[in-house]
Amino acid sequence: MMLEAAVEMWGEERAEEMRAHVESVSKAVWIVGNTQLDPGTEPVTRLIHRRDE
Amino acid sequence: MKPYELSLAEASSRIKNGSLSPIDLAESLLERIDEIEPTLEAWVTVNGDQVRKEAEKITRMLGEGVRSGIHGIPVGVKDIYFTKGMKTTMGSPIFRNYVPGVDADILVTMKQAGGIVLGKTETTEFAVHDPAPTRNPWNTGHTPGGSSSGSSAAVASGMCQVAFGSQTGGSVIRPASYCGIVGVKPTYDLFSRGSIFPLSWSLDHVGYMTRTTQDAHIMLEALTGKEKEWHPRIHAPKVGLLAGYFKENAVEEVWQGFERSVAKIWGEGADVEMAMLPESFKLVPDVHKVIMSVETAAVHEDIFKTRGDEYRSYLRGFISSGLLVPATAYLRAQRLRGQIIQDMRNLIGQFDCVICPSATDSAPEGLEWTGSPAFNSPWSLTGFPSITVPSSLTENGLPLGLQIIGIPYSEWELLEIAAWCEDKLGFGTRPIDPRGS
Repeated sequence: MMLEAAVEMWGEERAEEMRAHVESVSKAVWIVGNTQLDPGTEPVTRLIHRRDE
Repeated sequence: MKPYELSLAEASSRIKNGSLSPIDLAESLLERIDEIEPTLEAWVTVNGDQVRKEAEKITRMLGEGVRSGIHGIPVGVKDIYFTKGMKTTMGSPIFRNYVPGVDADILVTMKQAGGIVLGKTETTEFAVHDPAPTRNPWNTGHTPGGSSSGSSAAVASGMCQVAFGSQTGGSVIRPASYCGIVGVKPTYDLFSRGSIFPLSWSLDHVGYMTRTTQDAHIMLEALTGKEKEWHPRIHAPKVGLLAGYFKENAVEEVWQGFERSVAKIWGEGADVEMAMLPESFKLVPDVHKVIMSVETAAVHEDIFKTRGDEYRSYLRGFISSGLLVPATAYLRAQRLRGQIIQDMRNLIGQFDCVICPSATDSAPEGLEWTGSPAFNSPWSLTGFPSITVPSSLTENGLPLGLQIIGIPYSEWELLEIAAWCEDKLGFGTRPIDPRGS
């Protein structure tokens, strides 16, 4: 899907140049997207570790 | 011994007792740069006249008292840190003539502590992947690693005692390991990233390199404004050994070298136990990639629209693919990140620290590729502090490093453990002359 979007955005030639990157990121997106999560799990929006933990 | 050969601790002590002036130290470092820079290409900018002027000013200030352990010490600065009135290129032709009007926050702190900007060190393009021209002093046919390429080569070869780097994946710990020096990647947000060109906001860390753990301690004192007595840990630490992912991804000689180092510290009394990685750890590379690609794309989006053709190939592809990632995937990655942080904190909290090799390999041959950040990105993702100490040499004479990781804000304790390991592993700490292949 991301590769199709790349072709649409940049045309076939440029998308082909980016193929390795797009495929690698697509794979990461797929893995992340297919990992089960509880709806209550919030995103890390600011990575501040509490000193008193 | 010439001043450039001194450790930071030795130079600092001589400056304090008046047997070395900051001017003489700066002159010695500038001479060393003149001598070996043509071979190593570690610097983008060194303004000798400005350094001498600053050294004179700092020397005069000594009359009012020594401000910190880095008072009068010239420091290398990665060329993504803004330096007021000094060119800051980010390793990109787009910024080839850019002169910031401000210093990076951390440099303001450094200057208040009496440190001097010696010059700007080479970086990969925008601190990502496309390499700098810098060579590894241990073997000039090999990369020093990246993205803090110039900083690591400069410290290892005695062009400075300490230099700033930054890490988003593995850009402090890996080059420090490849160059046989100490690298410190502190807890996320311990130091301000203000006025440092960003790569990925939630992953970027300020870090630095020295040749000894004591020097790293002095730098930490200067940058935090805290004074802590230096005593390498007296009691042998309780250490969790990370295998699994790390064993699978290390080249054979790295893992063998790591095992030898572990045997040595175990033989010296360290309590070494296996630390089993949690299930969530296997998601680290993908979660890191999704977050970094999106944030990097967002950082560069505006410049990329108009000047995309001036980016080198890797970064161009990385930004382009980051622009395509759905928002839900990015948020999902940040949700998984929280889980990974919690799981890793539970694991590491059972020990004084956990250890693994500092890189998957020794410095790769050639300058086209700066090596894999796979053993460092987990600690950039979690924000946990990590330190590398040089541990041994490969058969080809290239350094390997031992990576020591702790829970957030355990830098002081980690440095004590690192010093204990440094002492037991017995790797040299003097600068080296560049060696050909």
